[in-house]
Amino acid sequence: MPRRRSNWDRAAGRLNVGLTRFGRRFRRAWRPPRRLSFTREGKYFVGITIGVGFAAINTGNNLLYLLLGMMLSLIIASGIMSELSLRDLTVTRQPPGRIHARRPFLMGIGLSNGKKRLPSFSVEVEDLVGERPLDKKCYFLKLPAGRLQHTSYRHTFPRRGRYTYSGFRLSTKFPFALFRKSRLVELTTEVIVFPQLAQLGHAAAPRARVVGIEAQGRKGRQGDFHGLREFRDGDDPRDIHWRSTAKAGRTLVREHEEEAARRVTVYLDNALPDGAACPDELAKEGLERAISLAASLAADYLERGYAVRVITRGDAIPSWLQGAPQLVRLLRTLALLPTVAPDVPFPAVADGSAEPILVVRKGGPRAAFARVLEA
Amino acid sequence: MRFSAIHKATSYLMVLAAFATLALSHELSPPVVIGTFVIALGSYFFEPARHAVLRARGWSTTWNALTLAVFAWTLLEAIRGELLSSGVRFLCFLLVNKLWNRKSSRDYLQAYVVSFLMLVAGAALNNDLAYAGCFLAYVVFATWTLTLFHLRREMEENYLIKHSDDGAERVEVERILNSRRIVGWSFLGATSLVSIGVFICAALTFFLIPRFGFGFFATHSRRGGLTVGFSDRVDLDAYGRVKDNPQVIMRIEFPTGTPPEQPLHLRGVAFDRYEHGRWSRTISDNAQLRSWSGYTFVGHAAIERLSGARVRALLDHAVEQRIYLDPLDTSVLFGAATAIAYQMPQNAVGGPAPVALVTHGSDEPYAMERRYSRNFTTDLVERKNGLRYTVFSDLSGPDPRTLAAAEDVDIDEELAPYIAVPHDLPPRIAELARSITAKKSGPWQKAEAIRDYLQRYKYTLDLKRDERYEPLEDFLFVQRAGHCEYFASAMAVMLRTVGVPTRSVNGFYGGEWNSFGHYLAVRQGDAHSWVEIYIGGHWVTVDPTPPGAAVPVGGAWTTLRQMLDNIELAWFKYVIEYDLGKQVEIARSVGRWAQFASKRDALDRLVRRHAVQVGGGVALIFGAWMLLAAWRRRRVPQVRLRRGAEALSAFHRAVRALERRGFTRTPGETGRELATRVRAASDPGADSFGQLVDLYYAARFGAIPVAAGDLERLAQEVIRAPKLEQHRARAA
Repeated sequence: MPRRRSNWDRAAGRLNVGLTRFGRRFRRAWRPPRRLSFTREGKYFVGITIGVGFAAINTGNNLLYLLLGMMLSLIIASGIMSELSLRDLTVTRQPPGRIHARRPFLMGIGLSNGKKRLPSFSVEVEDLVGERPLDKKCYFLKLPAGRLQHTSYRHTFPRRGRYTYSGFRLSTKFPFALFRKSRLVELTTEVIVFPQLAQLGHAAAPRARVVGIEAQGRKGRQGDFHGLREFRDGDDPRDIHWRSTAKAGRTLVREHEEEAARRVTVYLDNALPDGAACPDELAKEGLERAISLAASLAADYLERGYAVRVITRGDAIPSWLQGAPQLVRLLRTLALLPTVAPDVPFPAVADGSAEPILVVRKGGPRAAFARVLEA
Repeated sequence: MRFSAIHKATSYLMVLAAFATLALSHELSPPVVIGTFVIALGSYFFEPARHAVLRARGWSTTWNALTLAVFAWTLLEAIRGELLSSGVRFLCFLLVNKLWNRKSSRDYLQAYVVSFLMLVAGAALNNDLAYAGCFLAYVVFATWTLTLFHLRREMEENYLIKHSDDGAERVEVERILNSRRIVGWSFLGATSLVSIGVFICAALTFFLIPRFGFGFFATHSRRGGLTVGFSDRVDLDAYGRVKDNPQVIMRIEFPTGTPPEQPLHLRGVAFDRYEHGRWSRTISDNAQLRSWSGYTFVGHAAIERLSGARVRALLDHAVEQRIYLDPLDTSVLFGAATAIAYQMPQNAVGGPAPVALVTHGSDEPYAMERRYSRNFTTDLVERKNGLRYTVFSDLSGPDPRTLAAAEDVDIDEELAPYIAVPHDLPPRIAELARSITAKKSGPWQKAEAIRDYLQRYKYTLDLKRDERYEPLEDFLFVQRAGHCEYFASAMAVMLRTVGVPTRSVNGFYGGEWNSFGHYLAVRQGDAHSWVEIYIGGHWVTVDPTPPGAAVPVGGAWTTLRQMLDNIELAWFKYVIEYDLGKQVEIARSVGRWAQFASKRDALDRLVRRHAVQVGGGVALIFGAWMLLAAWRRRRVPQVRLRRGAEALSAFHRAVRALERRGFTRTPGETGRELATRVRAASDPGADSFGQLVDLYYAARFGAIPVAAGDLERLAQEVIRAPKLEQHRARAA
């Protein structure tokens, strides 16, 4: 019985997804090319136009008909001029290199006018995330014919993750501010919002005691030979072991003793009571803080020359990361880190030379194998 | 041009155009018009940003208190019944208030709203062609102003806040508003094109909106200043100098489109009683009027039995005149003597005609407007504010032989008033009449004799008057000169003394044929008086006034005046008086055109029929195209420089030449600085080098095309200039 219900559920779910997709496609296909909405002045203007029309019909005064004609013509002219303003515009988006949750960033917007002679006036550009416009707008007062102008808007994403910009909404109230005419421009851009990085401060950093070696602040190329590992971005090319590389067919580099000793393993508990379906907002918020703390720790260690790896539940053992350029890779992994159920275990780790750190959310389960940090 | 300056200028032009519609409506008194204009215009020179007084709290408080006071006053006046005029004055005050308190874009917006209300009020108060001009100006200025206003407000809203880490920061809006790069002449030109589009579209909408004037609360009528030149009273001593007044008060169209063979006597009011130089009406019995299928018959036709055939016969022989009458200080309907029938505008949606005809004593009908009062009864009030109607007149007149053979009529009770002369009329007038008509028999011969006698008198408008004599006595025996009213009065009274019933008639005579619009324009100056004599049961027109000095006709001024008058008539015909009937007429003619165009050989026939016009049109378009092409060629220079490469080369060669002469360019020294140094040293190539630097800057940094020939010439002048010492030696 339960199995049958689950099939039904699945079928209903699939139908739901299918219908949603169809609805989206239908809306996109039948979306009017332009959208028109009244401004406050526009509402008054139309009201007055109707009033003048009524007065003209009632009195038969032809000059009132003439006024009515003028007002209707102004509405038509407004439609044509706003259309000319919005036509042949191309928008581009220049996201910054790194975007962190809860940290404002500047998104660059470029608008170019492809018209040969006519400038575009008073154009507003709104970025669409999903189908919704952001609350920030970019305003272009005058865009001469054939020119490109850049501006930017400031925005903050509240959470890490993958965000998809679907396009832009170009709108204008030009020329008389009676109507706001808008059109949608599709331009998909995907951005990964990294976890928030907090300032930890050296005094509070727990790494020295945990790892047992105080930071030297220098690169570990001078230590004894420890072994070979694969080349990673940011490695010093002088460390490439050419003979082994030639033999193995992939680039291998030497690892030194000192480097091996300066390693930190951070365990991040990414479990929530019901996994992704956890309804507890507080717990979710706690996990986000934990991810942010883990990312901040990792960033701090990487900056200080440590090799770092962040181990999460349900994941394979990641390789060691070293050097600042590796931070982006780590942040990207953490930005997209899924939430799992508590029964998913951490992967078994062979290397237990240094005491690892376990970052857990507040009130989350603790473990004895590591020093626990609560976010 | 600074953005804020353009915006301010266009805003003022827009509100002044709206104010002009009211100022020209005669509804406002001249002090109000002049006061509003001067105070409103004065505010242009006082910018709230520069004058602290205008920003002070007390300033706006005072204005608010004033507004309340004026509003209360307006309300009181409105209660007293002067709703329209007091409302219009209040609008003027509001406009002045807003113009002196324009601190933000909101104040500008309110001024625009007031200007629009003025335009609406002007539509109700001003029907003249002047409204058309003001309206056209308003459309152009409003398109500019509203566009600039929108940009200004967007600037104020969008550039007020700047991104910064610690929140919002105000930026200098003033600086952006003072920018010269946002709009220029090209912007205004392009916006003017838009306003032309708006105007054309407004005209189309105007003509296409169906006209179903229901008139629930008001009736449609023209307004405007009443013309007072024509009078339905005659006072010989008080005759104004209307002869010089060129104002057109009536336009007459004939179905044939050709002018009448003889100048017309356009009859207005007839008078029966003369006393001490004054004519008046004493007969109160209404002459009969007869309605027949939309026509109102007067005179003999109103008395006889009418049938379809008889009506047709009457109208077929009559001359049809379509008359467009301007607002006049009388409601009498004019028409060429002798009028048979009148046709008044009908109600487009059925029901009784909005204008009815009545008579007061004589044959002339008066236009009365039906007004619906609150208790659903109809009142008839005199219609003085302009009218369009058709009149049919019999211009043939009685047969001359019948006239000559006519005998004196018996004076019955009905004719008695037309024979009466004042008891104190100087006897020598009657003696003179008797002596002139001594050997004549019958009314016509007597009339001819007196008319011929009066021809010896001089026609003049420069009247001299001896108060010791009765006016007619003064005219006939002392001055022996006068204007038409003296001639007509003298003849009428003299004929009465010899037993011929007469009446004096006021109206218009002649008129000017407008060859552009093919109609007769009757001016104030055409006002005239003549006499009607009762002969054989008919009133016959006799004009004793000798012809005055010929008015020069022709010339550019007359042509221009006729063109303007034609436009004015078109304005009244197709805008002010436009109705459902005209709409149907236009639709039919469009239908005919469509039918014509759908035929296969339509183009051929058009070309054949209108070869000259079509050829001229094609030539005009071709010429315009050629002119445009020539203008474009002139604008695009022969040599277009790419990134100023040639300019750079010429500049470098000139700099090297200067180096050879000792002016080494120091690192960081700009071309202009070098030119200044060279000029200070009075080098002979300094001027050429200065000009070269200017061209070089324009070509290289200003992206302005510069002719390569100029560059080369200037560079050569610098290179070939003699050395300073040689130059001085040569000069010495």
